[in-house]
Amino acid sequence: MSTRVDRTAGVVGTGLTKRYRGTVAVDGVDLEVSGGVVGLLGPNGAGKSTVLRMAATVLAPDSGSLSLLGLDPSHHDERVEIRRRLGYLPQDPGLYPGFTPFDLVDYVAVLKELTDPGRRRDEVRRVLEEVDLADVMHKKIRKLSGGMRQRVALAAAMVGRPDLLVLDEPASGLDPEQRLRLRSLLSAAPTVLMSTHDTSEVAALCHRVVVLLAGMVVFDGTPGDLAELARGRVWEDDRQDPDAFRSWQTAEGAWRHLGEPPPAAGLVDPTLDDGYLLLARGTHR
Amino acid sequence: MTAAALAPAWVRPTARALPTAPLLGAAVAVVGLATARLLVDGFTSAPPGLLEALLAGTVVAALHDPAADLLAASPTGRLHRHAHRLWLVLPLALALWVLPTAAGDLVDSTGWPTGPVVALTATGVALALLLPGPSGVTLGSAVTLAWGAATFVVPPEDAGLLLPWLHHPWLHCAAVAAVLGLTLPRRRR
Repeated sequence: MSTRVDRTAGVVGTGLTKRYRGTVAVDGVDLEVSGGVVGLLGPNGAGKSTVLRMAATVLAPDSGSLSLLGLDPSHHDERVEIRRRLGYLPQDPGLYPGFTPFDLVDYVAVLKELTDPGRRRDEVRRVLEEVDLADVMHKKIRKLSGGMRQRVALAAAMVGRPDLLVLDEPASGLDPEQRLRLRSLLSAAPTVLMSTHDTSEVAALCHRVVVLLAGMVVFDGTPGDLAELARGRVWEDDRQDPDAFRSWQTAEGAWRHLGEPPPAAGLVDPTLDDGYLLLARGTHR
Repeated sequence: MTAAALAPAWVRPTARALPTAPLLGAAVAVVGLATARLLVDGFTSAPPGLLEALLAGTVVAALHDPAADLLAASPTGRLHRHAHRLWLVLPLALALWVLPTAAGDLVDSTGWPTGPVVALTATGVALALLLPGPSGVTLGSAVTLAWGAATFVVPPEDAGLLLPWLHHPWLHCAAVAAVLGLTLPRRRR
């Protein structure tokens, strides 16, 4: 097999399975991502981070086949080649508190084999400017806010203009303005696979969403398709409906219900939340 | 051209990323005890096992990397990054052990042997390399400390068997190297 990266190949996984001490974390996942921003959506423990760790070459699947950027990550040389063209943001990126953002991203660039000091310095400045950290690039990380630290880690993932970005909850800790900035950053990347448990992030960032429940893919489509799953099963009323499988009060004070609507119910347009909640409760048939 | 300019680019950031507090603590302990031994008996008695364990445990602790997850998908892999850290720490640790004992030679003694501390360090480092994640470093440090402390409780007649790092250090090192040689190639991720 050639060790040349295919920039457009993205992630192709078939039957990916991973167990931890007998517990199945990921169960026969098929995933194909080539271009655009694809969101993995699911509750805590659904297996999102495990799938991302496999897609980032950090974890090997117990079974199934995986191809990244057209290469096989189970072979050492090909894995190194993939890693040269891959950016990874883990869910809990530990940082060195005594480093500055510049130092940290520079170190990541060194490990990513950007050997020319001048070009490396330019690249580090570029990514830090892209995540809006130019003003604090020489301030100690321990003095930065949580959102800024998240952006430092994001900048580290983006060093070298990777062809494949694997991001575990990238918008965590970001304010609305930074989320908007993230949106434009991600739209410029060739292929992005990201996880979230926030449907508003999916709506804002992703052109495609894959819902994982208990380690299995239960939905794969556009955010609009996910919302449409709940069409005809969402209604609003001025009081709680005990027969609805899920009811909650909206900011306007009305009660919103999910489930089998009673006759003459005031059906409303479904949202992404509605479609996801229906899937998550296993009531969608 | 300065030495800094000639050094590989990873040297400075790796050195800065090392946990300095344990290294300084071990340095103070080794130098302090070595000085005390020099003054009391001129290094004619063996070093306490715990001191060897402290130094070995400190070397292993230097492999703890709080940013390991962030760097996990780097083309410079985990073992490679560990090697960077060991490249910086091992000479320091060895110097810390050998230099004070070299002072013992000045007072006509043999100084402290290096074999046991090397064997104990090799054990801890091997565990840190073989086990994934931070648990490897934790276990590696814990085993070196516990095995060093065991010198206080193991009866002399059993010491040859239960404390191979102390009584057969180079054989112990060879065994550790063999285990690493057999298992590491399969754990290169």
